[in-house]
Amino acid sequence: MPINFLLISRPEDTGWPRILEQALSPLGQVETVSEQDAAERLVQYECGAVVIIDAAAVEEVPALVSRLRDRCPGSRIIVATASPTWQRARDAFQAGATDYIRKSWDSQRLLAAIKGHVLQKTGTEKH
Amino acid sequence: MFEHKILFADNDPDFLDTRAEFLEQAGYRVLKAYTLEQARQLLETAYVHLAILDIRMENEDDEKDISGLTLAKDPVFRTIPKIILTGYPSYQAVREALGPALDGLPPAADFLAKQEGPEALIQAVERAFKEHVRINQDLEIRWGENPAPVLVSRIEAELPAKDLPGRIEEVEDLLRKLFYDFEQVSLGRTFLTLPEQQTFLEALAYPRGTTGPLPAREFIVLCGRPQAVLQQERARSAVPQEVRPFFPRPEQRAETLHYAALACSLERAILEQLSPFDDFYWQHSDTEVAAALDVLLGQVLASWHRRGQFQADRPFLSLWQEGLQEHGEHLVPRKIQDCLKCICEESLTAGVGRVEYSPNRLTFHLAGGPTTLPNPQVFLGEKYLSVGKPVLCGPIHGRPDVHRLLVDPRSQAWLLDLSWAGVGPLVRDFAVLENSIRFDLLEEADPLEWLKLERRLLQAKSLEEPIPAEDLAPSLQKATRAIGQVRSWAARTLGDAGHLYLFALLYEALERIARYELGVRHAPREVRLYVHILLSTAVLGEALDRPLPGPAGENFWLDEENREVWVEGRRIPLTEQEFKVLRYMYHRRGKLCRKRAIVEEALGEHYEDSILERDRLISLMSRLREKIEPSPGGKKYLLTVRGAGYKLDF
Repeated sequence: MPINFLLISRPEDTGWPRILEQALSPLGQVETVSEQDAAERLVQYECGAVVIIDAAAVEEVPALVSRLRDRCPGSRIIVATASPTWQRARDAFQAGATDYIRKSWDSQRLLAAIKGHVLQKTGTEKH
Repeated sequence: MFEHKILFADNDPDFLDTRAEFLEQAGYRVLKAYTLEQARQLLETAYVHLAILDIRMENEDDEKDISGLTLAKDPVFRTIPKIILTGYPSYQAVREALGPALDGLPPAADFLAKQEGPEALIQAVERAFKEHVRINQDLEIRWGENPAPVLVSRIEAELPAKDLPGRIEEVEDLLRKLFYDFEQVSLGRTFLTLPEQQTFLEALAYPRGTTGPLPAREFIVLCGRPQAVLQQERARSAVPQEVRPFFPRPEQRAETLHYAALACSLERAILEQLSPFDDFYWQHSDTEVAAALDVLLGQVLASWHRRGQFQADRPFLSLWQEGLQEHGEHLVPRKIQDCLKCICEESLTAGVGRVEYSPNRLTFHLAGGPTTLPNPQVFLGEKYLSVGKPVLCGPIHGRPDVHRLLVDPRSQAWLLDLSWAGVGPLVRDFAVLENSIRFDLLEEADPLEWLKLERRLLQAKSLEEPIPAEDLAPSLQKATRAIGQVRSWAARTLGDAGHLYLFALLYEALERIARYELGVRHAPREVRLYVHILLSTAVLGEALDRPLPGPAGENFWLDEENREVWVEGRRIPLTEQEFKVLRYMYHRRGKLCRKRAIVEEALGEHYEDSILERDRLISLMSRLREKIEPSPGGKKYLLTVRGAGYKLDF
């Protein structure tokens, strides 16, 4: 069954979103939404879409992740960034991100990084 | 006072000692591990709430050393929350530590750089206790008849004494996790303790912040080894929807390193009114007992069994053994033989007369004289591994015995345990219940009365036939009526199962015999029970030695007197017309019976060679075939000879 991916990005950004779309085309469809519309759209997908946050397009990544996690506790939320740091990665995970990945421009690498999450359960379980 | 126990592992002794001091000053008890091995050992043996693990535990200068992270990922310790600590933080390391592992649970709860200082460490520890350890330190636990050491011994009977203190702490924490949102829990009666390392308790829990006469919430708490508890949860998800109200419904779950627990509600039940069926049986009338059995058999098991299908290509014994193997058990002839010999040897000590063992026979020297019966172990032989009558298989409870059944004064019934639920011969559920009434509820100690009961139970030609009980001892009368009720429900589900039902009773009883502990001395009461089981299996063996009801060895038998036919132990009711045709063919076994002859000689009617007449005969034969053939659409006995007629072959 095709997977719905929700990319949170700026509408004017087209470069990386296009590569992402190409990378994920074997798995399903990518829809781009703004940070403001993200939570509503995710709910419309009955929390079933895989969320990919382009960190460059978002003011406060941890805050957005928390908001989405509150609305959809079981959803899969992946944060992608061109300049990963361990502190930002920790903040994203602590806010409820499922994964924190480097924004690759190689579609094969992107597919490999995201594919696993489509098959996995959520990353929200507590110890 | 509640003690927060932390394992702190770092191969830099100075760093470890300094930071541990900070934590100790903050009120934590710190167990220090300076090597990876020490860390692993402490995780295994000392019960801790939280672990702080350095990533490079083997070589500080080796950037490939992720031994601390690897330890954090070990599934054995997955229930212990961990904080990963490193002097060399990287986003990849954070991802490894906090990203999801295969089971969806991140290896660690937090990630810290050593450079962040001791305050950050203390904050991270506080956060981890609050969000991940989640132990209700303020919970008032009233243990009642189940103090922590007793609970531990029920779950781990063979636990070495040195491990007991840690496990006692652990079981207490288990309850503090399970009742995280409550201020008091009072443990009550123990309903059931299973050899499969689990126990079911009654519990009343009082939610936090409530004052005044608010009712407590009632739970049945299952505590056990994590695997056993997980198996119960899995089995429940496979239970048909309509039957679920008759089983405990998990509401909360908690897990520690060695134990897991479920707090379950029981629909429509008031806990303090519930009794285990074995108590209820003695305190209530036959009618009330019958009503409770009707709920169990007619509502719970009947809904479950509705999904049964015939399995035509497997011997019954194989299907039975397969079900046992799924639970790590097996009827091993050699083991049964050893148990039988020991029971025979011990029989004298129980004051029920001597039982003499021989490989094919058992002789019971009872007050009325010796009685020689077949040795039941022969029924596990290869001969019984050939395919016989198709067996109705499907979802079963597997162990609906009297100990697992809870009943209230209105005779409503609930089943506690699902550890044996699975797929198997449906007859198993009835055999388990019948034998449980026979062996677990009988207080009669006179072996002659046992023998009388066993023979009486085998007198009936079919499962529906009433079993006369009036002339039996009073305690046997009640059991006989209850067994009659089990059989009548069995008949509705299984049809006339014939020998299959007897084999099921025999194999279930042999399972009990296999649980006899070799090399242990048994109390006379225990030995008496085993001798009763032995006698029961031997009497069943006697019945199985002569196939029901025709001459020995016959699969197909026509009972002229009662105008019925028996096929592979099943009684087949026939219409007058069907009986006439079958009787005609029975006496011409293996020979061609022409259509004209069947109509004229068997039915005594005039035969016209017309399409109408042929259709009438075809329809009659097809009805007969449906009734007598063991498998649907089969042509084992009634064969068509194309263009000529029919042949009955058996």
